[in-house]
Amino acid sequence: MKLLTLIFAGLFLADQVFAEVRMWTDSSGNSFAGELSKVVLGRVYIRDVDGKIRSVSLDSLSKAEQQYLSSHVPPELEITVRKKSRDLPNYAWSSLNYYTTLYTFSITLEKQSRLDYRGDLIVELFVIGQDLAAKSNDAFVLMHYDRSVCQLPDGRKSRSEVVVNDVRFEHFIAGYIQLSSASERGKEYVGYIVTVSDAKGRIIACKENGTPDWIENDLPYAAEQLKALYTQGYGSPDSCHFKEGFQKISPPRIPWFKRSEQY
Amino acid sequence: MRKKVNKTRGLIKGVPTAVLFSALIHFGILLVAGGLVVFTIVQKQEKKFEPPPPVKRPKMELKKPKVKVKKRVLPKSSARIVSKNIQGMTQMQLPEISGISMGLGNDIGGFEMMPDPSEITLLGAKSSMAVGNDLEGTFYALSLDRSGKLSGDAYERILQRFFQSGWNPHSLAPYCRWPQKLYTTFIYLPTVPFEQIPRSFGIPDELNTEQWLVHYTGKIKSKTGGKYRLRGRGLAVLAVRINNVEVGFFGWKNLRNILTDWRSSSEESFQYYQGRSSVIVGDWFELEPDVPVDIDVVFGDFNGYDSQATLCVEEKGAYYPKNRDGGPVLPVFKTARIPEHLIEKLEYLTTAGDQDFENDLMFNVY
Repeated sequence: MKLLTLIFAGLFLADQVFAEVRMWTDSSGNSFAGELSKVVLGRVYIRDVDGKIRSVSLDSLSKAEQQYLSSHVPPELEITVRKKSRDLPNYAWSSLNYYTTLYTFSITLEKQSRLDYRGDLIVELFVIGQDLAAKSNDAFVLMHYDRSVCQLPDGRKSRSEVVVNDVRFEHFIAGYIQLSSASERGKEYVGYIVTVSDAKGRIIACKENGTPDWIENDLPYAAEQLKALYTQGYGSPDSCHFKEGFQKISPPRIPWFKRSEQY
Repeated sequence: MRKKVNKTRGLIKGVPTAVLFSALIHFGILLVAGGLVVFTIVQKQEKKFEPPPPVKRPKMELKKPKVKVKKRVLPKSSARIVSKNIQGMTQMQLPEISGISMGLGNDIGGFEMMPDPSEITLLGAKSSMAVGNDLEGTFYALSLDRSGKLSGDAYERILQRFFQSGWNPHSLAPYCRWPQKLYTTFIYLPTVPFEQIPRSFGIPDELNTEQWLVHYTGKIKSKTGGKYRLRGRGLAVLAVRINNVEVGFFGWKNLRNILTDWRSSSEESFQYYQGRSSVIVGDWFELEPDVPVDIDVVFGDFNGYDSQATLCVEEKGAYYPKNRDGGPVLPVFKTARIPEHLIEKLEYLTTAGDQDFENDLMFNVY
C-alpha cells in the first residue's frame, strides 16, 4: 500500500512539477517546444505548445536533455529504516531507577526509477514519543527532528544512507512524589516519520512506523505541522507535547501532593 | 524326372540373374558411398584453409555467480551521511534569537545575544547566554583527583576546606575540574537524578562524579534597589554569598553544621516546599540602586540519587500570592527572562505554586 502511495505520489509529482517550456527533439530528429509532463517506463511525455501530448523514448534524447531530466525529475524511491536502541550502562554511582535509551535510525533511500537524479534530497526524521506521566493515550511528544541533505549516486538502484545517532529517551521514577500516577517522569518511544523532499522542497516519498492513524493518514501534513511545533519549542521535548490535530499542549505537571519531609 | 530337371533348370537359371542384379546394385551403392566418403574427406581438408563463415552467436543466459556480501557493505553507487545527535539536540536551522532584557524597573536593560536555544539546559548554556548578565558555572568532580584517579577524600572534608578558605576555588585545586563551563541566568534546578548535572556539562557517565560541586560566580544588580532574601533548597549543599557575605545555606542540616555557622533566622524555614523538600529562608540583604555586586552560588551532592538546587527571591514589602501550602509563590532567582521552552521543561519537573517562573523580578547588570 505504501509502495503504491509512493508510486502514485511520484506520478502525481511528475505531472505537477514542470511548467518550463523548452525545445525537445523526437526520435525523427524533429524539434518542438513543450513542457515536460511526466516520465513513465522509459518514455518522456511532453505537452507541446498546442496542448498535445507527445512521447519520446528516453534513450533517443540528447545528453543535454537527459541532464535536464536528471535535475528536474524527482526519483521514485524506496525508503528503508532500521532502528536500533541501546541503554546507557549504570555505574556504581548511578542513580537508581534512572534509565536512558539511545535510538539510532539508519535511513536508506534506494532509487527505483531508471533516470539518474542529480539534485539534493532532503531527508527529515521525526521521532515521536509518549510521556509516561500523561494520563491519556492520545498525547504525544515530538522527541527529535533531524534534517539531512544527501544525493543519490548515478546508476540503477543507487542508494544513499542517512544515519541519525543517539536520539535520547530518558525515564526516571521520582520516588519522592507520593502519587504513583505522577512519579514516573520521562518519555517512551512510539514511532517515526521519514520524509524525503526533492531539491525544490516537494515531498516525494515518506514512510512511518508506529504512529497513530490520524498521523499516518497524511504524512506530508504531519511533517509540516511537526516542523512548526519543533521550531516553536526550540527542539525541547517538553515544549513539543501535542495531541490529535497537532495541537500543542502543556507538559503534564506534578500534581500537588502533601509533603512532610523535614531534614 | 524331366519335370524335375525342368524345374531345377528354371531355378538354376534364375539365381545367377538375381545374384548378378544384387551384385550390381551393391557395387553401385559401394561406388556412390565410396565417392561420397572420398568427397567429404577432400572437402574437409579444403575447409581447413578457408576462413569460417560468420556465425551468429545466440546470447547465452549466464548464471550470475552468487557472492555472499555482508549486509553492511554498501554497493559502490551509494552514499552515507551520519548525523550525530548531541544531547538530544538537532541540526535544524533555528531562527536567530535576540532579546531585550527588562530590568527591575521594566526598562531596557541590554541587548542579549543568545546561543542556540535548543542547547540551553537547566544548568545553562556552553556559551554566554546574556552578555554580562550570566553566572559562570564550574563543575568539580570531587571523587577524583586532578589526574582522574579516585581521591578517596570525604565530601564533607573537602567542602570544609572550601568553606574555611572563604570559598576560594584554589582549595579545590587538588580535584578534577571539568574544563567546560556553563553560563546561566537563573538558579532553579528541580529535583532530578543527579546525572543530569554532569551530563549538562558534557561529562561522560563513566567518569566518577559521585561527589561533586558546581560553583557559579557573577554579578547581580537591582535597578531600583531594595531589600531581598532568598528562599531555596538543595538536597546536600546549596549556599549563596553576596558581596562575600553568606546569605543562606539551603542544604542538608547535618552538612551545614559541619561547614558553616550560618543559621536561618526565619521561623518560616522548613514550612513550605519546593520539589521534594522543605524550603530554607535566607538572610535579608540590601542592594543599592544600580550598583552591581558579586554573587557566588555553590551546590553539590554525594552518593548519587536525586539532586536539587532551587532559589526564589522575596522582596521586602512586596505582596505574593499564597500557594496550596499557604506559602508565598515567589519569583525564581534570575538575571534575565527564562526562555519559554525552558519554562515548560521546569514546569514538567515541578508542582504549580512552588514558584513563579515568569515574574518580572530580575537582577540583570546590563
